[in-house]
Amino acid sequence: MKRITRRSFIKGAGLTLAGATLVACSPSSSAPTSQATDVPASQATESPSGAESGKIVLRFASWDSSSGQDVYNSITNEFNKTAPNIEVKVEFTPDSYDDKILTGLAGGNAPDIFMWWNYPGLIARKGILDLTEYATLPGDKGLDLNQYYPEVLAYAKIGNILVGTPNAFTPRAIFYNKKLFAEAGLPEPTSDWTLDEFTEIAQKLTKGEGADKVYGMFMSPGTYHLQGYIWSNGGDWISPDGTRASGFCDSPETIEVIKWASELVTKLGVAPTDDTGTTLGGATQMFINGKLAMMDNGRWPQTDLMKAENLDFGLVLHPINPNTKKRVTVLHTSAFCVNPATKYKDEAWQFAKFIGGPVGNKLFGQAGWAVPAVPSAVKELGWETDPIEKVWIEAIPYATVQPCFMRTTAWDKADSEFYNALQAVWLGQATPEEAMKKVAPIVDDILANAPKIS
Amino acid sequence: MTPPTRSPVFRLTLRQRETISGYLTILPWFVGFLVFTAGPMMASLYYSLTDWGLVDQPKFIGLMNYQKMLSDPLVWQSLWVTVKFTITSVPARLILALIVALLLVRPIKGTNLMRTIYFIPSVVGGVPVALLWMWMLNADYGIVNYFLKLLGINGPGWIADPKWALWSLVLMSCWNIGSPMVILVAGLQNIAPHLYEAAELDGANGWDKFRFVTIPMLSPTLFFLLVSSVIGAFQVFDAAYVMTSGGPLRATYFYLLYFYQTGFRYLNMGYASALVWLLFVLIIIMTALIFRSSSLWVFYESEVKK
Repeated sequence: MKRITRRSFIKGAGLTLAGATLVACSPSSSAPTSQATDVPASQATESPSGAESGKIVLRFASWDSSSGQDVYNSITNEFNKTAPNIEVKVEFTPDSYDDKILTGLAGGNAPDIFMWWNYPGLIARKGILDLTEYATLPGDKGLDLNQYYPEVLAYAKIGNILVGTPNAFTPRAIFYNKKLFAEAGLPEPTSDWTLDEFTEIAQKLTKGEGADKVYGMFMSPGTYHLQGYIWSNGGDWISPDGTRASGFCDSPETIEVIKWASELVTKLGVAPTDDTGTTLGGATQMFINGKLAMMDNGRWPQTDLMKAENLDFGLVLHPINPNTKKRVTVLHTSAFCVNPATKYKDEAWQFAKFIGGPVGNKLFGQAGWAVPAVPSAVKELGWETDPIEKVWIEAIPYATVQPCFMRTTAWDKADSEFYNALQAVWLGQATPEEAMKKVAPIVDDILANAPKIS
Repeated sequence: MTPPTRSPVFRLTLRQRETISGYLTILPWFVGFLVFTAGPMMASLYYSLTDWGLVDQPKFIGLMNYQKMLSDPLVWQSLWVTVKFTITSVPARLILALIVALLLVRPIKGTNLMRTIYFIPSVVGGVPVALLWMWMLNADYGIVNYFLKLLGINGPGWIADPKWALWSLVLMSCWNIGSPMVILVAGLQNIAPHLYEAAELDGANGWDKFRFVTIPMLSPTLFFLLVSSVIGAFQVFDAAYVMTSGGPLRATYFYLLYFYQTGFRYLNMGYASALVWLLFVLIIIMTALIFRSSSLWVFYESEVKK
């Protein structure tokens, strides 16, 4: 019998290990935990000298890249005019931002103020300071919440909890390529168009085959952007109190919208499949390249679209639902949240109030990043009369429903189940009815076992 | 042979000195192991017994996480995906690496250049490679389907089709064979030429030499590669994270992807810790089985076959 002793294994492996050292420089499959810890060293905009001069140093985390440094510098400079004793160090973390904040909160070294949007999980686990009482402080110490768009403020509140001060945000609307409309002999859409007209126009705009194909529309299987269409039709993904999906995601109103959206891809071919859409660079890239005539999106790509040569685009509100005669849209918002473990709660609030107030919001708007959450800032920027910008402003009042992710601490998990179900529909492997009937009890279970928000 | 002037109190035997210098030599590694591996492992073992939302305080709940895993369909679904990946990609990669190594070990002109070329994928690695493959494997515009079309074949949806997605990732993993190839080349070069000469004198043909000299002499190398590739394959994460997010229809929903989402997206770090401990135990069992099997097929030069 052959026997392998430890020694003989080591000997045998010895030369192979020697070979392995040769390849030690090759990137190993990174374990997910390293994603959290290997985030690039955060770059601070100011030299770390504040502590010596008796100043209070606050750390503020942004998910923007350091190319946006100038905007943040002008905000902190303005802030220092009102609070000379506070120095704010901005930490830019464009990659693995969430992981960095979460591990920071777990390890007790999270920044004092941080941008966030997915509040319920952190609220439930006391990872975000409730700012409700701070806002009601008298005079300059408090924050006048009436200065915000009410719809945007609602996105920064869970129940009565003020989770943060509203950041500049974006509604969704439909970008359209004017040239492609003209070529198809179609008049430009107006805000009174209906969903049926929208589908018809998308069909007329679709032309060509293979690599030359121009798509009328883009419609991927995601829960977030579908919410607006579903709400407009009187449906929803889950109950308003976030406790169950049955009776909502499988309701006729919701299923009708899923059927319509998926058939744009599967039956009508006016929107690209997921695979092709991703490969062609996503909706924005396709729109810039003239491969996409209409695009449902937020304001993010607007600056790039403006820069693109040979692209003349317009912006119009979402179509009106013909059944309900209603239009409901969804916003993409975030807020400046305060770390409950910060040593400087008052100072952190002071900065959150400033960067999430009229000045900060205006500077973000001025940089062309997003729509200020404060109407007065929008007015100062002259956006109410700009032919493109005014559409964003007009879209705000239609954001009347609380998005699903704010109703439960388990939305991420529920969302992955919904996404899986929607993918089956988009691939033509299940009907909307089948997919939703199957996923409803699974999501019910997830929601029922979710920790309460507060 | 200690100098006689030394006080006998401080005199150490040769054995003791060897022991001390031995421990001193491994000390840096040992400290690193304690701080960066053993410590976190023990911590995660504790967390696996708690309900911990990452930012709040862990609450001890005994074995509840493990109990919950038994009835969690995603655990078994993602494990099955991972096992399928492992049992296909590991043999495929090793066989391919062996073929390339056999070709590259021959003393022909340009061998070094070829070795470098075959090694390049291992250096590039990660996200850029994933993006490259996404392009090549696209159903409508990808170059792979383009060539298939020239041959009159209608290519599948590769990563878009749930039936094909996992096998596309296996295919991709076969592209990256640089490390096993280099190790196998080193192993092949280490086989003494006299063994082949002796075989030739006995009238062995090419296949015989491969089967009765190369394979047995290479078996320790193959054994090492098998163990390390199985462990690596069980931890597959990158490609799915970048390219498919586990889709379509969870066809590439690897176990570590589920772990990552559970811990960092669903804020359920206690349960996520239990998930990785299950993986750890499974990897240990797999490795033990491979070690057990090795007595049947691994041959060491120093041993004498009875």
